[in-house]
Amino acid sequence: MTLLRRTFVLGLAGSSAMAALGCGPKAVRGEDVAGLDDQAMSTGLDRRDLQKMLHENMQALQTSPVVARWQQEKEPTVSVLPLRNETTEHIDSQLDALISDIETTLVNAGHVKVISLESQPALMEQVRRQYQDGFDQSKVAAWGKQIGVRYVVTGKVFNSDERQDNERRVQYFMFIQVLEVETSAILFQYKTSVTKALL
Amino acid sequence: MLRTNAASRLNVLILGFALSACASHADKTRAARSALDAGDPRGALKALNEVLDVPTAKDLPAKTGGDNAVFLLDRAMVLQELNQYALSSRDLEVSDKQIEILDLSNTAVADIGRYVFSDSAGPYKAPAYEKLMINTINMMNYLTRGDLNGARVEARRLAVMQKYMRDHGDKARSLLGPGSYLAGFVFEKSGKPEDALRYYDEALEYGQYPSLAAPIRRLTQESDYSSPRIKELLAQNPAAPGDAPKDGDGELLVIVNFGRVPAKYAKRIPIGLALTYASGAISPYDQERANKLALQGLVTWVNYPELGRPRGTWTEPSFMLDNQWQPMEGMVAVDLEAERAWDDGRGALVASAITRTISRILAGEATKAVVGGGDNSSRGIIGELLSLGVQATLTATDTPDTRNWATLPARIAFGRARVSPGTHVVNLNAAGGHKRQTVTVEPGGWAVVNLTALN
Repeated sequence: MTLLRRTFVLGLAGSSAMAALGCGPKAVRGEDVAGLDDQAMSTGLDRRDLQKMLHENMQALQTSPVVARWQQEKEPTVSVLPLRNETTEHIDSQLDALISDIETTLVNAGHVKVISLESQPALMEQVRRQYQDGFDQSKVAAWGKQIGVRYVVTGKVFNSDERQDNERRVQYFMFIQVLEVETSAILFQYKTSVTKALL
Repeated sequence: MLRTNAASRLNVLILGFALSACASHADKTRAARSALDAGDPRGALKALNEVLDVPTAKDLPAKTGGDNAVFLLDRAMVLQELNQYALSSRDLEVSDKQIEILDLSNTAVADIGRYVFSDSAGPYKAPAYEKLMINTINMMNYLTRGDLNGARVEARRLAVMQKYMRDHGDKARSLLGPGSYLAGFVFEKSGKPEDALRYYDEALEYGQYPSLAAPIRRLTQESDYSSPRIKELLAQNPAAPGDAPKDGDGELLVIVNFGRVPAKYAKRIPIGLALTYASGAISPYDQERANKLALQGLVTWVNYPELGRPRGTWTEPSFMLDNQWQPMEGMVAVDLEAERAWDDGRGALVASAITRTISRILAGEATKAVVGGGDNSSRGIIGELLSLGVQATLTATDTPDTRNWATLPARIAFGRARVSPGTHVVNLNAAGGHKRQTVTVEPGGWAVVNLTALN
């Protein structure tokens, strides 16, 4: 009896250990797992963080005086330049994806005519190269002229990254600006933030 | 019956743990290290892919945490030697995140596992020098690819770690040198003279970089930043009349990583020596118990992870630009930091090894007492057998923690030269490796050439 019980318990423990060892990840769809997009997986920026910051910035833009100005000018031309990454995270590709999101918001709001930088690959390459070598704000207006638009929307994301004994806190800030190409004047500027942490 | 069942459950628990125990980190990386010793980085890459259970270096393992984070660090260095800088960056970035999570995790279960079963039962805690080197090595990868954006991110990440280490008085300070040198270069080429000077100033605190005199002289014309070290460097290296850079001159930076830091290996040492190593780290109670068990002859050896010898020879690497010899400088000994970190942590490691040894003996004795109690002779025999079983199983599961980033280069050296715009031929030589590369430098541009030789 004792031997039988021992064999049973041993078998159970063995199969449990094997099951634990053999358990691998499985592919899932976001909509199939409740809250999958809500869970923070690291201190990096995920889609939800970026959408939240962008949404707040674009809402502020829609209620700003610059939109009233655009309405008076009847669909002036606008181009969106890449957002600069000044963070401690490799988020350049996510920031590139935001260009299309900003363009979509502007197009759907119906105040401006959006000229995509993607239609001018040579200039796009020039802008990217300049972002690589160190950003020069004075070049923004010149690029706007090259594209042939009246306004440029651009911005940057930077962070304050701190580490304590058993914690790391990263506060991200997203700046969005609207510049008038002719005068280089900043007509709109807004900042939003999100905080991520490992506790 | 009750006692026998209790002992059975104990055995089952231990056996369950034994099933999940496996070869040590040193065992798993032996094939890769042997391939590197033989000058076969492709063989090392294949061996590491096997350990990670992936078909190629383009693949990441299903789980990137745990010990895989350390294997990914190892693979990143091999990929750098093979000039696969983008893949090397990816491995370092994945590992960087995981190492951070492991570093911040501190569970009671892991601590119990570390003190009862095995050192390697707990999450890997990377020593300070390894954390600094993750971002430093990755800056090299980005710079070699001409990607200042990525290099800036790594420089900022390094700054967070440097600040944390400064605030906590952590060791490995000499390794702030190469990271700061590269961060200075990154911000200089990004048009940020203030940041560049700040990092160069920090690099000068830990290394001799005479070639920084000219860039620093240029940068001080664009920024007010100054320091006694910068003034001293400029005074020792005055500008000669013909030395002024011509308009459009570019710059070439070479980085040579060579040799390997020591790997760890499992070693059995006599209890007396172990107690000497652990003095100051072991509690008086455990010391007394260990002495008592040693006197009874129950404890004679302790199993713990020892640091091996660094790999390589330390002849200064050579740098030739268009058939002209150029000086190398700022040689940093990563292997010495590895040894220093090891010396600092050895007492605690040996103390936990002694504690585990005591736990094994006491678990065996407890099993014997539970099962073998009473006057039944068959129970006594079963008790002895189970006691031996418990001790044997716990001994088998006690895997010394031989985890470390064993493919880190033992030494790092820099070379720097101003070049006219156009095409140039760079020859780099280090013990165990050679690279000849043609680079094209744009007017006012820059290029970085890296040689990594890990054999």
